[in-house]
This record gives sequence, structure tokens and C-alpha cells, in this order.
Amino acid sequence: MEAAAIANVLSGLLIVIRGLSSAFGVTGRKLVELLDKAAAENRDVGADDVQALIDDAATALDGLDAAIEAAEAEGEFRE
Amino acid sequence: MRIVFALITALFASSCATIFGVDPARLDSANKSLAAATVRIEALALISTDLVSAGVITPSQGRAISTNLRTALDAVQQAKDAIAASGDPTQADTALEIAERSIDITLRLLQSFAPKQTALFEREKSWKPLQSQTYFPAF
Repeated sequence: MEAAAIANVLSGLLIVIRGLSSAFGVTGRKLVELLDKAAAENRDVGADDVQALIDDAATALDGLDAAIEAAEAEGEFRE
Repeated sequence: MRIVFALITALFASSCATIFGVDPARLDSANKSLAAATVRIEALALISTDLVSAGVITPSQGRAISTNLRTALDAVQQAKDAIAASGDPTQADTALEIAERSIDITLRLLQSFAPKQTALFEREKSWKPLQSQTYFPAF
């Protein structure tokens, strides 16, 4: 394998590893912030709080589907 | 007379809470468990998006993951709606089981499709922001 190809693979791997850390970090922080906010306001976590998180997760899933469609389109283009 | 009336009112309210099973602490706990499951679904969706975009997993593998995560999110959504409508926190139990199963399947799929890249999951499993014993065992 050429050096450029190896560098490309390593670069891709690095992106994924960074993604793993940031995805868990971002969503973990989001949950902690929600719990802190509810505690600071001296209230329980309610349905609206959960709905906001569900909406964010739905947006992330839409992003996944868009990435899948883009990858499919790219595959068809290559063929 | 007022004191007697207040006592009767308090007793009535307490009885209603018992009869209808409305327990604010359990309601709070159920919502926190649903919130924890939801952020996990979002994290897996973000990770999967990166894996698909980087070409590590194929589009069809991505679709399998997406389907599982949507099953989990649908279960959480339905449970949240049911709890909001009825005030019954036990509505979360089945949904959390479904969500947990779907998340588990998703993790296994990811580990199967991209074993090297998802080796970090073992380390990420130590990510447990919810330590309170009042929470449902969502994961």
C-alpha cells in the first residue's frame, strides 16, 4: 500500500476515534446539564425535557439517514 | 373547622395519589431513565454517521443500525407520551426494555461491522453519568 493510501486510512481512523469520544462526550454533557438545570430550578425532570432530547436524537438519526443516502449516491457514482 | 377541612383535603389528595399510583419521585425517575436512553441513542446515531461518512461501514449496514435506533427512539417517544398522558411511570418499563434491547443490538452490529473502530466502546461503557440509585436500571 502506498504511503499516501496508508496516511488516508489513518486519517479516517483518527476522525472516527475523535467522533466516538466527542459523540459520547457531547450527549453525556447534555444529560448532565439537564439534570443540573432541573436541580438548580428545584424541579423534577419533566416530559418537555425528555421531548427536547428526543427531538435532538431524531435530528441525529435524520443525519445518519442523510449520510447513508450520500454514501449510496457516491457508490452509484463510482460504479 | 378549617383545620378539619384542610386535613380531609390532604387525606383525599393523598388517597388519590395512592389509588392512581401517581408518585412524583418515580415519575421523575422514569423521565430521567428515558432521558438517559435518549442521549445514548443520539450518541450512537452520531457515531454511526461518522462511520458511514468515513466509509468504514456500508450504507446497508448503516440502515440496519438506523432501523434499530429508530425502534429504540420510537419506544421512548411512546413511553414519554403515555406517561405524560396518564402520569403512570410504569409505562416506561416496557419502553426501556425495548430501547435497551435495540441499543444492545446496535452496539453488537457496530462491533461486528467496525471492530477496530468500536473497540473504544468498552472504554465508553464506563461512561455512567447517572449514579443515583433512584433511577431505573436503563442500561
